[in-house]
Amino acid sequence: MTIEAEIQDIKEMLDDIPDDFAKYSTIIEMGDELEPYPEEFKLDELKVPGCQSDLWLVAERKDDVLHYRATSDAVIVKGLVALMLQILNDRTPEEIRDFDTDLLKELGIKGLLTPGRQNGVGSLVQRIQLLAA
Amino acid sequence: MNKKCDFQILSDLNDDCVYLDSAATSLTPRCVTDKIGEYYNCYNANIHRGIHDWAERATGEYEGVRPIVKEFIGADQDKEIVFTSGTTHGINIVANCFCSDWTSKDTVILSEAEHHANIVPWQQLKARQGLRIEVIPLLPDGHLDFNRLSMAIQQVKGRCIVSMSILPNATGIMLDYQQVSQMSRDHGATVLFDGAQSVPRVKSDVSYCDFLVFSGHKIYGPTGVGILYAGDGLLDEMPPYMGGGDMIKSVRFERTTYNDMPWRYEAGTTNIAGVIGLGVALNWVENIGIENIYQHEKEISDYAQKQLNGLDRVSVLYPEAEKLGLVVFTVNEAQSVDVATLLNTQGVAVRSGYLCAEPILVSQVGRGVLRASFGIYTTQDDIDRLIDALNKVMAIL
Ligand SMILES: Cc1ncc(COP(=O)(O)O)c(C=O)c1O
Repeated sequence: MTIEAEIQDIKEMLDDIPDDFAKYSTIIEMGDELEPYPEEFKLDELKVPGCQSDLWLVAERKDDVLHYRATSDAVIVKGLVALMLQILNDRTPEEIRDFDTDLLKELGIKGLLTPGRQNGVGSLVQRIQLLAA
Repeated sequence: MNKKCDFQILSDLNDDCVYLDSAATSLTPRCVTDKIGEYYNCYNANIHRGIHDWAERATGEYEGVRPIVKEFIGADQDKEIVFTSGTTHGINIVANCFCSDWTSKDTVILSEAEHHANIVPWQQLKARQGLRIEVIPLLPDGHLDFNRLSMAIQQVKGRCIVSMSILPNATGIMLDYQQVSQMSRDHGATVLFDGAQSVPRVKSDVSYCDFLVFSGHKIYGPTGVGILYAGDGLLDEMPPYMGGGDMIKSVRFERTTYNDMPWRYEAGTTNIAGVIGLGVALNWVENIGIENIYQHEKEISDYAQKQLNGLDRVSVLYPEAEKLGLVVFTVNEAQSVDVATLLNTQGVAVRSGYLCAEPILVSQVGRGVLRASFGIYTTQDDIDRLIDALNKVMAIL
């Protein structure tokens, strides 16, 4: 599936949920499904800056694609991480670099994915793209 | 007391918002926003300069606020009232002007519970000229350790300023400021009180201090304006903080003579509309009566603390101590950002994080906290909505 189609899928899933509280609960549940993040990778140099809570991200190359692992102590951020990785994980560096980040705004949770927002998802996407450079 | 009707922002349009972040910024009643609008719409001119009608009206309205502030805080003279941009600015003026020639022989004494605004300016002074900084810890019940204060004051060799918040924004526990004042003055120390949180809810009395600072935007006034009260003579001889227009008597390239108090500290064009708006805010508070505001907020704070203490997973900071205006808490096994984000989806606005008071919260809590804070418009119903929303949030966290 393309990045665009994946975003569209998640958008439709979220649009079906009636209010923000319920959307967040779904996002938190997505975080529970996240691939476990090794404790030994919770290093300062792997922290994504610009977030009120800690957020760690590592990337590794697997054949042609990039595989990311990430986590946060804050469950909403962790859920958002899961959501982002569902969209961006195991893709080629070109795909990750070239996709239009504005599309994420269409996910449509009020202010959620705007850069500068304290949950740091904007910074996460930036870092994901940087690691694909 | 229901004052919600005085606030446009709390009208039907925003009916489902419970604003519990007044310690960061209080809401602004319509009489204040109207007055600010009136300045811009009716006599928008600079002060102290022009001799045309608008300039005279603006100057009159602006200078008319000084006696209002003077009365409000119990000062003696208009010239003791300096208009600043806020609490932070006021503390910086004292640190940089009153303490301009202080060195490693001189001491500033702070409490552990200070806002960054009352920590960083002193650290900067220390970095430049080696001032000593003594920090007095709180007792386990959240009150200041007066034994430690007494010891610290007695050890002072040179000059000393005791600079403390009367109502710390990270604890909500009133400082026994009268005792701080007496202890300090018995040893010849100067006293600066940060009244950012106290002036809006407790009667202020500057006879207990040499300097008092507070912000307009926490007392139902505009942002970007505040007050520095400086006791008579304390700042008269000091080199001013900022140079520019309006703070001088005469300027030649050879020599400039500074203006008198308080204008020597009001360089450039100040926040004219803000000052005028602050005057209206203080009159509005005075009309309600600071005693009534105190009573109301005491009741709300007691109620909020009781309700929060009743929730199993909630830990209130200093749960037994009396609070005024705010209650700080955490939810066990949940990050404060998560809680605050989810409360926001329920229309409940609280503050999360370290509240610009990292030292005390890092040592007492070790992680970001939540703060519910109150104003004259806060009702018991608002607290009930907070508790309901918290229960709902805790069910999924
Ligand atoms: C106790 C205390 N001191 C100082 C400040 C700083 O005030 P301002 O940002 O208006 O300068 C605050 C505001 O949060 C405060 O609560």
